[in-house]
Formats: sequence, structure tokens, C-alpha cells
Amino acid sequence: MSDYGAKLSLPGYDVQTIEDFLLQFSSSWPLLKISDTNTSSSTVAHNLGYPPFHIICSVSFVPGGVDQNAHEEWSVSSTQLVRASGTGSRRYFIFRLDLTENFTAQQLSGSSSASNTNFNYGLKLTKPGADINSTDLRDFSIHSSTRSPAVHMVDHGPMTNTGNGLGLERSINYNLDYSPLVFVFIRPDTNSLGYNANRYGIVPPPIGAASRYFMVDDAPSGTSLGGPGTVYVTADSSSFTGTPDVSIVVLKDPFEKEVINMSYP
Amino acid sequence: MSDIGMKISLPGFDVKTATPEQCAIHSSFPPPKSKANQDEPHFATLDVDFTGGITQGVTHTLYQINHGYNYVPFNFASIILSNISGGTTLYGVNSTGVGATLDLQAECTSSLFRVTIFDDFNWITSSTRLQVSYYVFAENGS
Repeated sequence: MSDYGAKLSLPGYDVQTIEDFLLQFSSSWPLLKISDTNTSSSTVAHNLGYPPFHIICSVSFVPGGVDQNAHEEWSVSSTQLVRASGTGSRRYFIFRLDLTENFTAQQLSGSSSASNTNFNYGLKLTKPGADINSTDLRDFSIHSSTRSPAVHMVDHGPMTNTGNGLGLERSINYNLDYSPLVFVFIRPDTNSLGYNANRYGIVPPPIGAASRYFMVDDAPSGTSLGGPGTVYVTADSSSFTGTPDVSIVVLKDPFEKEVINMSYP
Repeated sequence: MSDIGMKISLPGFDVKTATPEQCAIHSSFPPPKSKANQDEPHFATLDVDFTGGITQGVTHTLYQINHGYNYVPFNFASIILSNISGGTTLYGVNSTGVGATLDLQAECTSSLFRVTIFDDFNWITSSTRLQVSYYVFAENGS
């Protein structure tokens, strides 16, 4: 099959030579597409047939931000975003991305410099029923004056009881020449923490005495897994007594981008 | 209205039959969108070098931008706070901290994205470095 495709760079960048994270989209990898977003205080049906990538937003603590501890109340099955406990309405995002379907995109290691040439052409595409002349970005499916998260990798698989870290471990190489943004989800299997065994919930980075966490480019001492170029996940084998699966979602979004340096105080 | 739209399938999939999951873009399922080329950037990495301890027991606003929306937008912020007192590194998404004595938050109001810190145990020293990699999206976050 011939190598056809389409790609669109951010304003000011040459689409033919630019590094992958400066593309608005490429046909070689999916954008993080929203299936449904709304507010709800209870379980939401999605009926996608797979456990999807999802985010629950904080309300009063870090408004509009990711609730990294949402698994205490929320998790997904192949048909529902389940509210198992808690009260109050929350903003949720359900994305068209299967947490159990492995995927790896290529990396384009081009230039990361803006061009002096005027490449400020663009493309915009509205959602069904919206006016192309709208000034509200929420009306658009694609708008070349914006940046959207793009999926580089989905890695799904079981954790291994190595006895290192918190006992259970899994690590992957993400194969990018920059440190990316990462999200991790866990299917707990048998556990003593009260989580549903088969629904997926978000995993936080290491904060306090966590029962599971993930690290990018780093790992706890005493393990041969992890380190530069990896995503490392560990879970407490005394709490997770079955065989948990984890889904590691790597975005084509560098941790370091348009760096703003400051000193304080 | 006619069913007009656009989709681009991933390599190996026929665009006529590809599911949304098999598409790079699909006009019925938009991604979160963050404005490019803003004077106050809607996506960036904030890198703070602490020159010493900070006033204890009060909330400091380290950084803020006016995002221009009149609602609380969806945002995410990946945080690394390294070399706090004792040499520990803290991580988090939109927040991190130590109990009630250290609290770092990245959040939106209906007008601002801001990064704040509260220290009440002298966790912050001249060796401490903070990195916050953030996106502010156009989509509603509340």
C-alpha cells in the first residue's frame, strides 16, 4: 500500500520539516477525540464496547483540572463511566480511545524551529451544525490556530510481581526524543482496597503513601526497570493480590515546551 | 441538514468504513483545543527557580495568565517539584503537596489560569525547582 496521508502544522511552522509535536494533526496518529463531555453526579452510559480513556475534573480543589485521585469514586467499564461513591456533580470527559488496544506511532524527528517564511495558512472545521464563522473554539472539530493532544502510544498489559517498587511493576520505553506527558490507568483485579476488580481507574504520580503510582524517566531505587526514556508503573502487591492490568497512554506532547523561566521570591 | 463532515483514517484503514477510533481526526469527535500563539501562552512549561524560602503560612501566586474565557476551562498541568527540604521530589497532576504543610495547585478560575503554593514547614529552599507543564483548553472544565 502506498504511503498516503495528511498533516497540518501549527501556525508559523513548515509542515514538511517540522517535528511531530508541532503538528496540529497527522494521519499517522490519532488526536485525543472527545466522545462525550458533560457534568454528572452519577453513572454515565457510553456503550463504546471498550474501557475508554477518561478524565474527571476537579470542582472546588483545582477547578477545571484533572482529578488525579478520581479512581476513589469513578472508573470505567466497556459500557459505563461508573460513579461508585461520592456526591456532587463533576465534569467528565470520555474519549474515543480504547485503553486495551495497543498502538504505537512513528516519531518525526524534524526541526522544532519556527520558519521566517509566512506559513500562516490554516484550516478550520466545525462540529456538525456549527457556524464556520463562529469565534467560539468549542464549535470546532479542527482549528489550525490551536494545539490538541495527540496519541503516541497505548500500552496495555499485566503487571508482574517482581517484589521491587511496591511489589508489582510494569515499564515501557516510549521511544521519543523528548519527555512526554503521560496518563496511566489500572484494572485492579482482586484487591483489598474496595476497587471494582474489572473497571479501569486513573493512576496518580507518586504522592504520599500511594498504593500505586507511575513515573516518567524515573523509578524508585532497587528496581532495574524504569529510568530515562521509560514510563514506570508500580502497585502494592499486598493490596493488589491478583494480576492488575495497566494501560499507559503516552501523548505526543513534550513536558518541556515554550519554557517560561522565572525565579521566586 | 445534510450529514457533512470530514474524517482522516489512520494508516491501514479504509476511510469509508473506519470507526472513530481508527481515524486520526473525525469532525464528529473534536479534540480538546488550546490556543496557539498567545501573548500569555495557553500551553507552556513554567520553570521556577526558588532563590530561597518563601513566607510561611500564606498562599503565593507564582504565575498566572488571563485565559480570556468567561468560564472555567478544562486544563491539565503536570507538576515536578524537586529538591524540597530533605531532597525529596514531588510529582502531581494539577496538584501536589505534603499533608497540610505544603500545597501546590495549578487551576483555573473563570478568568485566570494560575499556579499557587502554600508552605508552612519550610519545605521550599534555595535548592528547590518547580516545573509545571500545562495546557488550558477551550472546552468547559466545570
